[in-house]
Parts: sequence; structure tokens; C-alpha cells
Amino acid sequence: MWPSIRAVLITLVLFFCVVEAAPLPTLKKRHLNRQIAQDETDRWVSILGAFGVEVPREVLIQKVLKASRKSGKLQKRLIRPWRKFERPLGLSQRWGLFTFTDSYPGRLVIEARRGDDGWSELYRAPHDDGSVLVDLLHYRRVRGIWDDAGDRPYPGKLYNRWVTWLGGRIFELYPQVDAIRLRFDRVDIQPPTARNRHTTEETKHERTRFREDYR
Amino acid sequence: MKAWVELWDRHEPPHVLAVVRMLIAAVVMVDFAHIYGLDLVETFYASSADGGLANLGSRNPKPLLYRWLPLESSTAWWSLCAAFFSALAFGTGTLTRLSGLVFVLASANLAQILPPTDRAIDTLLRNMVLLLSFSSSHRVWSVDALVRYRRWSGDPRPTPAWPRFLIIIQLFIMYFTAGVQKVGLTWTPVGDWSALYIVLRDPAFAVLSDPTLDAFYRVTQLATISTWLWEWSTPVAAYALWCRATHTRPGRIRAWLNTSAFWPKWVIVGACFHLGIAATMRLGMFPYGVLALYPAFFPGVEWRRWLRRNPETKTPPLG
Repeated sequence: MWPSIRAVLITLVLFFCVVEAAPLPTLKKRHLNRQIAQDETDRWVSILGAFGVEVPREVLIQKVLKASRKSGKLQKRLIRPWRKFERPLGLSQRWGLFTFTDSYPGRLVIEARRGDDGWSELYRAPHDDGSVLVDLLHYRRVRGIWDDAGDRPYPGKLYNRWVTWLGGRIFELYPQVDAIRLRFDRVDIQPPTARNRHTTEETKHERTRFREDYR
Repeated sequence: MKAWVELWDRHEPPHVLAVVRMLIAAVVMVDFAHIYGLDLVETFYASSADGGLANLGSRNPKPLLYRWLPLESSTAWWSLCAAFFSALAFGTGTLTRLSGLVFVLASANLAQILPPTDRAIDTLLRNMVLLLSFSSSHRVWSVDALVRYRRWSGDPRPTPAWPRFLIIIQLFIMYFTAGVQKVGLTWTPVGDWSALYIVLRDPAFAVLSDPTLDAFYRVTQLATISTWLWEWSTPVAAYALWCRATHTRPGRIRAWLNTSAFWPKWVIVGACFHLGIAATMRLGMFPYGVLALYPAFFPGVEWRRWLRRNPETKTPPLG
């Protein structure tokens, strides 16, 4: 009797896991703020056009958004009882690993001001000089914060708090620094074979912190 | 239906599960030690009023431990200690099932306090620890075995093999859905197979210099194609595993998959990808966390055969 019950339970668990992991479209309006999403949309419009399917850009976006809404709703409904069990235990089956490679990632740059010496660069991603600051910034959980909250079209809720915290750490590590300036430079990554290779870097989310504000 | 019930009722010695248990514990403990070493305990797990990044005061519902303990920095330390010591107990096999469940709750508590610090690998390892908590991994190479059987090697008699099968299925689900979701055009010829080149140049993860990557662009293209094909071939790998388990049955495809050793080759390529990730990207414990699950791809008898270089022993690969 027990082997049959166990097989049923395992089947049930597998059903929920597979439904939750099912790679359904999950596009949301906010995703379209990213340059990479704009580029991908344009490319899809031209690919479909090459196959004789003429779809205006806006129509394509609306169709994908609608499909995403519907499939998302269905998926949520199916796994609702399972999610009640998963959530408190921090379990999940969403594995979107590098689904879209961002050709326009942000490069974290930190500058420091020492007295009257003016601003000088303290860190420029992905530079690794083995310092404590670099160890801190490269630790995966810290990177998770600045990469998620900072490297995006609009900074996340955590971004300002993180900058303030980082300022405190830098002022501890470098007693001679009296101000820091932090920003993300948008990098254009183009393959070596690309015809139009951009080298310009746009700056975003610049923040400044002063030692005197920490006293 | 009968075959399905029989599949989940197979038995095998629990050594592989014990190895996976110890490897997972080792990986997460090293990671927790980093949090302590970098003085990030209060930054991550205390409330903003106590110098932390999380705004816990206004949050409802509060993370698990903060429902019972005061909103003080000491609770941040209790949170990390609970996760670290439950991982230690789980790895050494001390009250294994209980410590596994405590670890899952403690790790989920850390995730609830500051969600951006919790990555996919943390979720994967929580899934696996919960699964192992229901397994018999503690029957060998554990303090539990030492107490019960008076020897560290414990009781090697066969135990249910379904937890190992579920670890394999979890990896199948992860790899296949990750592959199917790689719909960005850079993963295709339209985007010049440039996905890995772009990922490897992302300043957040980059290890190699831009000129190096430019010089090896063709290699990154090949790696992009290989990654994509390897992830998409997961169903074939699942079928190959089934064919290995039923190698006495007829069928040309079954015979080809078995004689070409498709399954072990697929696993070795996967391990190489993760080692490649570890060498070329700054992703923390991700590659090591996934590799900790790789022993589950083969039953204990096969590992023993390889380690003792004894090709004489032939056993059904699923156990």
C-alpha cells in the first residue's frame, strides 16, 4: 500500500514542480524599459517580416503582453496550493538563467575625494586588486543587491540605502577619503564582428555621500 | 502504473545521498563564513534601525525569526547562526532530518529578510536539503549512524532510491527550462551566437579581460552553441538514463545510446560547463552548489566501480 501512496505523492509533487517551472512567457510592461528589450522587439519584428508576417511593433508587444498575462494567470491558479507550501520554506522552481543577455549592462564605478586632491577612481567593475572593498563588492550576495537594484532603468528601493551603507564602509576602510561618488556607466557590448561598434558610455544613478554626514 | 510504482520503490545503498548531503553542507557553510568574514551579518539581516539594509519595522508579515525574536541586531546573529549550525549538523549527519528541516527554515528566513541577497542557487539547495531530509542519507557516514550503529560507516543496506531520482529530475527541470527560456536572439545565429561573449563581458561577473574575450570570440560562440544544445538535449539525456536502466530490452536507439555512453558523456559535459563558469565568471557558489548534486547522477555501485577501477561489477544504473 505504502509504495502506491508514495508514488502518488511523488507524482503530485512532480506535477506542481513541472507546472511551476514551465517556461511560459512572462513579459511585463516594465521589462520594456530596458534597451535590450527594445532591441529584441525590433529584431523579432524584422524576423517575422522576413517570413512574410507583417506585425507592427506595438501590436507584437500587445500580443506578447496579453499571452503573458493569460499564461501567468493559469500558471498561478494551478500552483496556488503548492505555493502556499513553498513560500514559507523559500522553495521555487523558476530557473531563468541568463535568458536574455544584456548587451547594455551597467558598470559600477566608485570615485573618492581625498581633501583637495579632487576625485579619483576607487573601483571600476570588474577590476580586482584583492582589496577588502573589492572582496566586499564581488561577494555574490552584495553583487545581487547592486546588480538588481542599481543596474536597471530606474534604481530599486534598496539602491539609496545600499549606497549609504557602502559609503560608511568606504569611510571606515579609507580614513583619508571625505566623499564618495558612485554611478553606473552603461556599457555597449558588441561582438567583435558587429559592424557598428559603440564605445560611448552613458552615466546613470549617480549618488554622492560625504563623510561629515556619517558623524 | 505498476512500473511507475516500482520505479519509486527501488532501493540502493544510501552512500551517494550521504555524499550529496555533506557536499551541500560544505558549500553553504563556506558561503555563510563569507558573510561573517566580510562583516555583513548585520548589514544583511538586521533592520535598517540597527544598521541593516532591510526595512523590517514596517514589513508585514515579518520574516520567520523576527516574528518570535525582538527587532534587534542580536536577531540578525541568531538568524545566521541558526542557518550555519543547522548546515553543520546536517552535513555531519547530526539529527539529520531535523537539522535539514531547520536549515530550510533558517535559510528561508535569511531570504525573507533581504530577498536580493538570496539567489537561484540558494533556492536550489533549499529544495535539495528538504528532499534529503526525507531520505535515508543519515544511515551512513553520519553522527546519527555512529550513535545508532556504533560505527561511522553506519548501515549500508539498501534504502529507498527515490530521493536520488528526484535530485536528477530537479536538475533535468532546471537545465531544460533554463535552456527553453534562452529565447534571447544572442543565443541564436540571428544574434551571431554571441550570448556567452556578452555575459562574460558583463562587468558584474567578468573575470577575463575584453581583449582576451575578443581574441577567443570563436570559442565563446562555440560555447554558446554547446550550452544551448546541451540544455535542450536534457530530454534525450533523460531518455538515455532510462535506456541504461533498461539495457536488456531491445531497440536500436536504446542500443546506440548505451554503446555510445551518451549519459555519462552528457554528465561530464555538464560538469565541464560548471567548471568553466567557475573559472570565467564571478558567480560565487553557484557552480560549486550545482556540482555538489552531481554525484547523484550515478548510483553508489557505479561510483565504487570507478573508484576501485573494477570493471567486472555490472549493475543496473538506476540502482
